[in-house]
This record gives sequence, structure tokens and C-alpha cells, in this order.
Amino acid sequence: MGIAMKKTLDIFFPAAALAAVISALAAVFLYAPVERTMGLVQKIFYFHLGSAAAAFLAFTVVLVSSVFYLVSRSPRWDTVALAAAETGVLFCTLVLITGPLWARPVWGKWWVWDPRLTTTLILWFLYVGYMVIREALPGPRGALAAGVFGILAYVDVPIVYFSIRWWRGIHPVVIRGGNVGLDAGMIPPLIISLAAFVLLLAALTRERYNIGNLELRIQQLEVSSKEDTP
Amino acid sequence: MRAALAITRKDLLLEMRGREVVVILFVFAFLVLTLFSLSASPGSEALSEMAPGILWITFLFAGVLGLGRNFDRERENDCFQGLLLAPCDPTQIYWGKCLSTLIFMLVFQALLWPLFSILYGFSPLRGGHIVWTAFLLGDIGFVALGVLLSAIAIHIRSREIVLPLLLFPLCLPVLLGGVQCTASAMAGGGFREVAGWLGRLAAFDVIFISLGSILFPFVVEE
Amino acid sequence: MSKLAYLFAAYSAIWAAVLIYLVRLGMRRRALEARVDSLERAAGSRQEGGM
Repeated sequence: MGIAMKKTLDIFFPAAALAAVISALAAVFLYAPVERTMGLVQKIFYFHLGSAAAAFLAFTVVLVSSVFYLVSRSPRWDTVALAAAETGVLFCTLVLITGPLWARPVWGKWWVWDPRLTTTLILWFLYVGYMVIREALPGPRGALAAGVFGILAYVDVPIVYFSIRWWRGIHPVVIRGGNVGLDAGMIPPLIISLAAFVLLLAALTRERYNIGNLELRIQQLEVSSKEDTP
Repeated sequence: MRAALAITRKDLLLEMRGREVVVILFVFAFLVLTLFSLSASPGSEALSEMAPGILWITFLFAGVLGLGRNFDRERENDCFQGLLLAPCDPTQIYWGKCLSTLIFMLVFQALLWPLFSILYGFSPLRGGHIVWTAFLLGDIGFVALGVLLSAIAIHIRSREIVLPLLLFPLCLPVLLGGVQCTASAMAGGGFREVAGWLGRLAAFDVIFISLGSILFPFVVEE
Repeated sequence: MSKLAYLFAAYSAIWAAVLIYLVRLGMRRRALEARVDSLERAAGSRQEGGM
């Protein structure tokens, strides 16, 4: 990729993300109808779902780049995986913060052990673990270990989800609320919010990726400067 | 396969020589069971409902300590490096380690189960072979993940904390399946009632063993 | 707490987190760029000295 192209993308992603976020805010607060029973609180839902979509997408990127890294051993893929894992944890944290803030006024409870919520929490633990590996093991050894864990964690998530569903299937589910009957007017703001969060994810991950590349460059320079000085 | 069995044999021999680890772990698990039963209010029904979960959490604690011990031994004098230099497929090392840890877990469970049944007030023969099938299937999944992650954690300075942090969320499905089968067996359920969960546990085992066999060589690469 | 407060809390949490993350990334980037510059200059002067 040429330098001009890179510069363009460095400007394009943040600008697109900013524009999309502003239009999402406008759509959510000016266009979307106020939900009848939940009222204004329902508006948390748009960005909650947006963060969730961004987090899942980021973790998928971690999986794909981990596989590519293990196969190709190109440090670029490792940098992509690290960047996506970090932004993924950020958005997953936001899902876990906004979720209870929505659940409390609607269900009367901050937290319910329902399969989706529990799986998101486990997902968060898994990728925090991924970041712990990255912190604790620098260099190629950490990259390999993280690559392995990035694959393992992603494969584990659906297994966790279904095992909780089978588990809960035995007991009656206590709270069955939040059936989000979507009004037709809510769909465009939802789509715009999803797009905004995907663009935001792309912009942040790209910025984090650039930082990872700078770190690689510094390592190279330091190695060569050691070789030069006898 | 012969290399794997040789590693299993080596681990078990070391384990037999240093029996104190199993004994200490056993006393530790006894203590955990005691603390759990004391933490429930006296005469409450909650304890017997929680019992299978308490048992499996005790297994997880003991298992992670046993794994840590097994790999600490490999760290001393760089034994693990020597093992990796051996002219055999790293997958063999993985299987050997899995098998020795599995046997370790089963011996530990054989010791703990009678004690657990006395403390929590039921006959040790209750549930019979269903309980042991569940233990075996649950252990395989736990060990498959545990050995893989121990090989990652071996290079981390604070591995005693990092290993459970990585391992427990990953093996949640195994925990849920194990608890479900044990609870059903203790309540006097037959094979038919737990067949679904036993099948799922077996499926988890296949997935985790295959993933471990594929990924282990990457972890131990130099 | 009124329902509006939950809405406000949720949206401020999102923007606060994203902004803090952005600022931290920016700071990190600037520090790294300065380091790359100084290393490259050092490498450049070494080459000149060698010639």
C-alpha cells in the first residue's frame, strides 16, 4: 500500500466514523419513536447493540488474523490481532456497562443470568485473559501464545452459549422481558447506529494498528543500532 | 504413541515418588468442602442443592493446582526444553501430559468422592457408574484445555494466577456438564436422563482434544 | 433514579470510554513517533560518520 493511500485511509476512517456517529445520534434522538412502555430508556438499546456488534466483529478479526499469523508468521497479522483484541475488549466493556443500565429500569434488575448476558460476560473474561497473555509475554513467544488463545477463545464462545442454554433449559427462566418488538421507525436508526459503531471500531483499530507498527519499527531500529555499535 | 506413553509413565513415576502433592491436594480439597458446608446456614436445603457445584469447583481448584505442580517440575532444570528436544512429535508430548494429568485427576476424585458423600450425607455408591462416566468425560475436557494453557503459562512469571484466569472461563461448558450429570445421578436419575449431557460432554472433549492437538505444537515452538 | 438518568449514564459512559481511549492512543502515538525520530536520526548520523 502506498504512503498516499495510507494517509488517505488515516483520514477517511476517523472522518467517516465521526460523521456516522453524529448521524446515528441524530437518528436515535430526533427520528426514532419513543417506545411506549419503556420510554426514553429504550434509546440505550441502539448503542448497546452497536457496541455488541463492534465487539463481536473485533473478536472475529482477532480469530482470522490469529490464524493468518500462525500460518504466515508475518508480524503484521499479529499487530492486527492485538489491535482488534484491545478495541474488542473496549466495546465488550461498553456492552456490559450499558446493558445493566438498560435492564435496571426495564426489568427491575441490574443483571440476570440469561445465556446471552452470561456469554457476554465470559467473552469479556476470555479477551481480558488474551490481553493478560499479551502483557505478560512480549515478543514472538507471546505472539504465538496469543494466536493460539485467540483461536481457542473464539471457538469456545458458542460452546459456552449453548451449554448455558441447555443448562437453563432445565429450570424455568424467571425473567422473560425485553422482548424487543421493534417498531418500523426504529429500524433505520438501528442500522445507522450499527454502521456507526462498525466505523468507530475500524477507526480505533486502525489507529491502534499504526501504534503497533511504530513499536515494531522501534524494535527494528534498536536491533540495528546495537549491531552498528561494536 | 509410544513417546506419549513414556511421558505419562515418567510423570506418574514422579507423582508416586512425591506422593505428598496428592496428599496435600487432598487435604486442601477436604478443607474446601468443609468451608463450603460451613458457609451455608445450618439445616438449610441450599447446601444439598449446591453440592454438585461445590464438588466440581473443588475439582477445578485441585486440577489447576495439580497442573501447576506438574509443569513447575518441568521448569526446574529446564526439563521441558529437554523434553521438546526429544525426537518426537510435540503432539505426543501433549497427549502424554494429558493422560498423566487425567490419571492424576481420577485418582484424586476416587479419594475425594467417599469423603464428599459422607460430609454431604449420602451413600458413596449413589449414582454409581453415571457419576464416574461424568467425572471421566469432564476430566478429559478439563485436561485437554489445561495442558495446552499450562504450556503457555509456563513462561509467565505470575503463572499461578494467570493459569486459572485463562482456564476457568474456557472450561465453563465442562463445569456445567459435569455438575448437571452429577446432580442428576445423585438425585437417583438413570442413564437416560443424563444421556444428553454425557453426549455433549463427549462432544466438548472431541473439540478440545482436537484443538489442543493442533495448537500445542505452536505453543511449544522456539 | 429517573429513567432519563439511566439514559444519560449509558451515553456518557460510551463517550467517556471512547474519548479516554482516543486520548491515550494519541499520547502513545506521539511518544512512539518521537522515539522513532530520535532513533532514525542516530542511525543517520552513524552512517555519515562511517563514510
